[in-house]
Amino acid sequence: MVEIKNYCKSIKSRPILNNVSYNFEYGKIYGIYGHNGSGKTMLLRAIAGLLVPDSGSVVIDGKVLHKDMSFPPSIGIVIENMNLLPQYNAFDNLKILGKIKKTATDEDIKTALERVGLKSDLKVKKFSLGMKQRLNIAQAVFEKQKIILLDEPTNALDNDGVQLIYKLLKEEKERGALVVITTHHKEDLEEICDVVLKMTEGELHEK
Amino acid sequence: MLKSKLVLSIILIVACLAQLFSCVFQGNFQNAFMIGLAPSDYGLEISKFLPLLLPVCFILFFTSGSIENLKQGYGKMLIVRNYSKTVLILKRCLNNFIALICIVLFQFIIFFVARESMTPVESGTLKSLIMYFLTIFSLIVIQSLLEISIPAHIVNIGIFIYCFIAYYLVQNFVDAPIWKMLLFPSLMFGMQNGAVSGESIYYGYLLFIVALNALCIFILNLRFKKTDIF
Repeated sequence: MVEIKNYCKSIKSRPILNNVSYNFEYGKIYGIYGHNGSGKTMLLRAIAGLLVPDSGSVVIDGKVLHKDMSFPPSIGIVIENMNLLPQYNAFDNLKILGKIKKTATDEDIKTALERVGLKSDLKVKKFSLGMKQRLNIAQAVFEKQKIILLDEPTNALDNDGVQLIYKLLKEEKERGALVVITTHHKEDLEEICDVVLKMTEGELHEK
Repeated sequence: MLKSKLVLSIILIVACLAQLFSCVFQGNFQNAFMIGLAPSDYGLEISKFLPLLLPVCFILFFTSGSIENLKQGYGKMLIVRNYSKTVLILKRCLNNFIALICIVLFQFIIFFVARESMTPVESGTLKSLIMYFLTIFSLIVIQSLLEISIPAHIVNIGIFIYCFIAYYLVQNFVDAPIWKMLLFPSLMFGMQNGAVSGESIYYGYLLFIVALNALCIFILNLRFKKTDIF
């Protein structure tokens, strides 16, 4: 379980996460919607260990982030400005990332790329925006991560792409992963999410 | 990530060779071996000194961005796959340490081979080599430390200017040990510019450089642990 306990974070005296408390369970898809600047992406960063809290904590399977560990032990994340290496193709990019934890085989990488509908041998610099987004999602799931955080995952995807990603996320849920998705549009979430949450001014509300 | 390590390696090799041949053509081959013995007059002019600084400039450029890259773009994918920020920082420092060993060894081999027929290698060479290596490593660690809060290219330029100013001031105006410590980049050419001369003072400066390295890595780790990554 991922527990967020009274998490507060301010940047330049402006509160961006305001006393957020919530428990996320494995095997569920959570959707968070809210306006621009409401703190959705910051919440994902907080769970991923990229932010250091002013107060409060994130507890993952009983271990406190920034105390017992710097980052969650098994996490896949897609947030803005994450670019893969342009001089390599999709397979090589995932292979390079896979060398850090050494948990994914070549077969896992191929399967992940097939699941997001990427069969191209092109280098990433020749990818369209949609293909880059698919590859980003593939890097978040190819190691069978336990926690998957996706910020606007359907951005730049066509209808077929969106359905493919929804199918993939449902499969990840069946596998037992915790999936958290953020978006501006509530309608996008209702189709696949088990729990829909609203983020307003750095506060998280259950719908 | 934008800079290709291969291109930079080639530039670095060219810089080392340029440094060597520059001194050969000036007829002052002894000075080309800047990590070696001290000329009797300590009289290295700025124009002759610049080629010596050229490889240092590229070494700093070669290693720049090692911390900044972790904070943005692709680095975020790398960083969340690591369990501990401390281990990650130590790995980055170790990578830079190994890269620097290779570069300095390459420089040493160039100068050693080219110098062999000219003059014998002095007994102080190894000591100078260690001081040269540790001073550059200090600069790399300080560069990494500053990259946490300042863009890498600005830090890179700033450190290089600091090296130049430090060398110039120690060469021309400064004699007190405390100033030589504050302007520590001058110690990397200590045998050439007179910043490190006596046996007793050498070990004092060596201890200072080792302590500086340890302190900077310690602060780098502390600062990085408290840094938000957006």
